[in-house]
This record gives sequence, C-alpha cells and structure tokens, in this order.
Amino acid sequence: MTALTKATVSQAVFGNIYDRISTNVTSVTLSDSTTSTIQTYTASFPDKEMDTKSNYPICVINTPSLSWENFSLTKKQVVGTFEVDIYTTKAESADLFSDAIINSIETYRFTLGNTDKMVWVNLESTAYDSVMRGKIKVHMKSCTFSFRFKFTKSAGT
Amino acid sequence: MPIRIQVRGVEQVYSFMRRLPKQLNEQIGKKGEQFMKNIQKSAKLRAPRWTGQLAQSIKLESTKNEWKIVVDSPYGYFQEFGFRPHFIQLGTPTRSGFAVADWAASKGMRSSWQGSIFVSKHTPFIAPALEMNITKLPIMLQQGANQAIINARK
Repeated sequence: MTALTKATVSQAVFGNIYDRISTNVTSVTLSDSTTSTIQTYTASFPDKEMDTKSNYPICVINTPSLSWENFSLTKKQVVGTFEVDIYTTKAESADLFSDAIINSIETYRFTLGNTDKMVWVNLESTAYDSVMRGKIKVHMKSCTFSFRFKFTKSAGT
Repeated sequence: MPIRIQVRGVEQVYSFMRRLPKQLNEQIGKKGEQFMKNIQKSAKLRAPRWTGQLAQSIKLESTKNEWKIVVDSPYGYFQEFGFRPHFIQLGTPTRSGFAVADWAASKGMRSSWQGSIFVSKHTPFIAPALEMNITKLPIMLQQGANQAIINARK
C-alpha cells in the first residue's frame, strides 16, 4: 500500500484500490452452491472480443478522476472518484461481487484514511447494465466511490 | 402596545442564497459527467467487437460544462444507423488493417479471398445505451440538487 502524495495521487489511488480488490475480492458462492471466481483484474474493459463464458467475471478498476478545491489558506484538497466495475454472466454473481467490493472498501476505510491519507471514502452510487453478447448475457455492476486528500500548497501560490 | 418582530438568520439565508447557484452548477455538472460516463461504458459494452477498434474509439470529450460522446471509427456510423443490405467483395479492406475475408474466416464463414458475402445486419450501440441510462437521469439530477442544497447550507 502506498501513501498518497500530491505528485502521485492517481497512481497511488489506483494501486491501493487494485491491491485491495485483487486480494480481498476473488470469488463468491452463488445460491446454487457454485463458486464464481474472477478471471481478470484490469484497468479497462478489454476492447477485443469477449464472447465466451470462461472469460468472465472480469473486474475493472478504473483510473480515478480528480479535481482540486481550496481547503485552507495553506492547504488544498483533492476531491476524487474511482469506479470499480464487475462484469459477470449471472445477475446474482454481479450483485454478490458488488457487495463484496463495497464491503472490502468499507472495511479498509480506516487504513485508507490513516495510512494512505485517502479520507472521506464514500460510496456515491451504483449502476447496473446488461447486454447480450453473442450467446451470453453480460451483467455489469458499477460502484462509484468518492474520496478526499489534503496537501500543502507550494510556497508562493 | 408596540409589537416587536425579530427576524434571525437573515445572514445565513443570504449566505445560502449566494452559495446555492455555484453549488448547483457544480453538483449538476458532476452528475452530468457521471451520466455520460455510464453511457460511454454501456456503449462500449454493446459495441460489436472484432479488432476492438470500434469499442476503443468510443470516447468521452469534455469542454466547460459540456460532455460529448465521440465515435471516431469509420464504421461506427453504419453500425449505429444501419446501411442498405449489399454484397461485399472478400478482398475489401475493413479500414482497420484487415480485409473482409479475415473477418469472415474468424467467424468460420469463408476462408478464401475470392468472391463476396452478403451483409445486412447492423448493431446499434449508442441508442440502446442511452435508452438504458436515460431513466436514471432524473434521479441523478435530484441527488445532485439535494447535495447542492446540503453544501450551500454549510
């Protein structure tokens, strides 16, 4: 895990969330007692053809979006969001994985705040989509989180 | 008997009214961006894939308070809006570094570069993505407006 600095916000946020999700969210057990295990962790949904069931589930940890605002006379605040998407072939597993992702981030909030300096981590929204791709139906669940990070302004600015 | 009326909190109301437009602009802008990102993601998921060029070309462009989804692929228009069914020579380039014959071979249709195939099917990807997400827009705007009111009160 890497503590955020003003020079490395994007990469540190991505790295921390990627490490956390890939360690903690690996598989879920469905109501029919089958286990669904994530096949790929990636930074963006593959652009190539993904029309076979064995390619899924895919977990996409998107690169964060950032903006700045003034926090005090000497400090600025990064207000950012990061999104974690899960693509599965079963609606139930999409729900179970999104719950697992949310729970993983929630239980990690203390470490994120104290060690990594990512504070006010909150779930902003979730979104669902489904589409037929070839012979399979792909279910997508997207979880959007917000966070803040404070840093000291450069002298003279 | 004189009646004395005391109004308290005028300063706070004034401050709230001053902050509200800026907050509304900011929060509605954030929700607008999120809405467009959802459409982009949904369109990418729906786009037909072979080389991946079409899905890759679906981009979100933003200027001040304006977001646009741009499909920068030569066949994006035809997949979205359709075309007249026609025969196409297998040797015709696909404009993505391949020929129609390569595509036909990958689908197990034809392996030769001679002759032609009949094409008639197109797969819209922007309109279905918009249809799927547009129902969520009023809720997102409502959430943005509520957040703006909360922020303006602080």
